[in-house]
Amino acid sequence: MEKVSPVSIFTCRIQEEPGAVVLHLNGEIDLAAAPLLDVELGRGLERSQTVIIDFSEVVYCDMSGVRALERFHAALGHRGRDLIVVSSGIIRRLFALVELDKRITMADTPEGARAFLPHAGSRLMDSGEG
Amino acid sequence: MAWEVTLQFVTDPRVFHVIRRTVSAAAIAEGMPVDVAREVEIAVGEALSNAFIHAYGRSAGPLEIDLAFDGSDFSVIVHDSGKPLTDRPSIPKALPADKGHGGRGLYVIGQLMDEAEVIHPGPRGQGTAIRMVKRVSSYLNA
Repeated sequence: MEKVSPVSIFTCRIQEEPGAVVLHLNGEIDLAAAPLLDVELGRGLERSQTVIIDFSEVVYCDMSGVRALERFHAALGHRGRDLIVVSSGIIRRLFALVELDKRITMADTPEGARAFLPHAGSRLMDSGEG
Repeated sequence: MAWEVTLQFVTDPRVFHVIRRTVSAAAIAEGMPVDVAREVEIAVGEALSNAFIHAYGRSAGPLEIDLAFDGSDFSVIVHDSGKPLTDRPSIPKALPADKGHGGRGLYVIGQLMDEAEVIHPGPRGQGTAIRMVKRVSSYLNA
């Protein structure tokens, strides 16, 4: 399931679990990696009602990654699906700076993200940004 | 010990990670905490992206980075030799709306660095430069 980008700085592993598909990202997300990120995120588009994107192993992300997330969030919204983003540290700070955390449900850990799944009784943010 | 280094390269996003890591490694070597150096890394990455997209229209062009440490401040100046930016952007104080012109990237640079400015034309009389400063002394004395 793992693909390596041409510059070997970014990988994505997909994990299916009840109620969600989890995309575990690893490495660095920049201009060079963003096109591959779009492709990898697209693989999670139709798989489950809820998509969890795990940035725990991402050591670098800039606005290229933010824009890819925004595109994916909008695509999910058009399909009535939900998105949860797992992030911490500098990556979470970046997402907060551009107020992504006001538009997308954020969790600190994959376990924390699962607490938002419908069977856990919590409600997600409205993902219908359009 | 104070020092200055100039890096010269071409705007190819596939090498940007090498440049970013070089800058953050230099900052860490001068006492900057790793988590703070990662802020500098993102700011420098945004400046590189800015040059690639806006100065050179997503094509190859010459870039230079001046790195300097004066015993207190760690400074990075990213110089391009591209077309003059007609809208003469500055570092926004508040998060701008996403209009696809790189305003949010400049805002992020301003938030992550202690000082940041966009210089038109650049100090070498052409293109645009983004000057960024992080105060290492505040961490050394903590």
